[in-house]
Amino acid sequence: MSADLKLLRLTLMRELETINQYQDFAAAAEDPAVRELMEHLMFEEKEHVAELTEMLKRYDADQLKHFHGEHAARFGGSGAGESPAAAPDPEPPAAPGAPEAALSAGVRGAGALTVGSLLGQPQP
Amino acid sequence: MEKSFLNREESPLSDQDWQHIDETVVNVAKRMLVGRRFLHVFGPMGVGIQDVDYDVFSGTGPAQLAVFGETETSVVRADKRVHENIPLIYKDFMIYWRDIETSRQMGMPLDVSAAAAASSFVAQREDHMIFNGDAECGYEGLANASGRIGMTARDWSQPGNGFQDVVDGTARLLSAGFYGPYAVIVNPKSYAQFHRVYANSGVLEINHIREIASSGVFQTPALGDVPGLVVSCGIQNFDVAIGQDLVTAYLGPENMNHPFRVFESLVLRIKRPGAICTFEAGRPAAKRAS
Repeated sequence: MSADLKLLRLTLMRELETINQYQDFAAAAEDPAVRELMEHLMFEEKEHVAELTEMLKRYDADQLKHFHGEHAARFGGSGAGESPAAAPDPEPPAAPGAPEAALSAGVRGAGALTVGSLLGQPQP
Repeated sequence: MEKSFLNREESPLSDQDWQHIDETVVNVAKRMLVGRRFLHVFGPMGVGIQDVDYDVFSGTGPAQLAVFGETETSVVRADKRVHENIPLIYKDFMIYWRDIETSRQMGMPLDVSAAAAASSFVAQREDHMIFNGDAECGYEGLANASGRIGMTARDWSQPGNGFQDVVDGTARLLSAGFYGPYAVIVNPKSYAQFHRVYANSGVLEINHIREIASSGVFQTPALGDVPGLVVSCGIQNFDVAIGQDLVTAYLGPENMNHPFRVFESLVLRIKRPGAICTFEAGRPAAKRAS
């Protein structure tokens, strides 16, 4: 394994951890301005994850193969001969003790995009 | 595959069409909604949740100060527990089969303007319920909640009067134990009137108000003739409990065409009505909060 590939994987790991941390910080923030900043930082980390993932595909041919293989296709990814959007989003397994997740599970393919809270957002 | 209550599997739309509709519906609502910009959201609890309980607090005394801690103190207790049904807010729209076929044959994106219009109607209705409630269904809103503080508004057509009322309103809330942060919500006419230079300060009146209202100054037509109100924000005072957040369902074919429904289920929970101060034209009808 090349040193660069190892660096990419380590950095990707850190970025994913940081997204979780910023998400927790945003949820804990009382001041809407602080919450907005945390959310902004979280979105930036997500951009980094996308960049790192693309770079990872270049450096790890075996990993790239899996992005387009049957395992990815099972979760809506671009499997062989299948467009990315052709496969329906699978229902995420409900975590034990998470009734809200179980209750929302009926909204298949429509759970990700929602209005949610607009707290602290200025009026356009 | 388990069938969803949204019935999307039965629709003739592709995943890309649905994504286009979802993005449009959510973005339109996000641009329009006002209540959610200063009220916390509780949930979504799930589409199957049809009611929610919450406690209403009022009239608790100050904390006790004593060396030995044996002096009696009043306990923070709920005055009452409210059991609220969560209503649906919805608007239907139609996509015609010929338009779908045109989109397919010409490789053009599907026109989802009707979905955008339906979303805007739902967003308007949500804010209307948040500010005015619904008398028929027995819901109170921020502008007509029993127990709120009511003030007679000065003549806001005169520069400075709106700012002075906001100062007085927040002072009333502060004296009643509601420390903010404050949000000011006014009707569009009042909002326009705030965009004048205040006295000789060289600063717009609305900017002076923003110094006090750190949670924001918003305008909404849902207030109608009520000039405005100021609220002390926080989940201890009120929030919006959501069962199902805004989403689009397929209703099934009708004369070859395809009706859809944009809907959500939510209710405003006013836990401490004393955290609201309304500025009212004429004599205030509200009871003062104890």
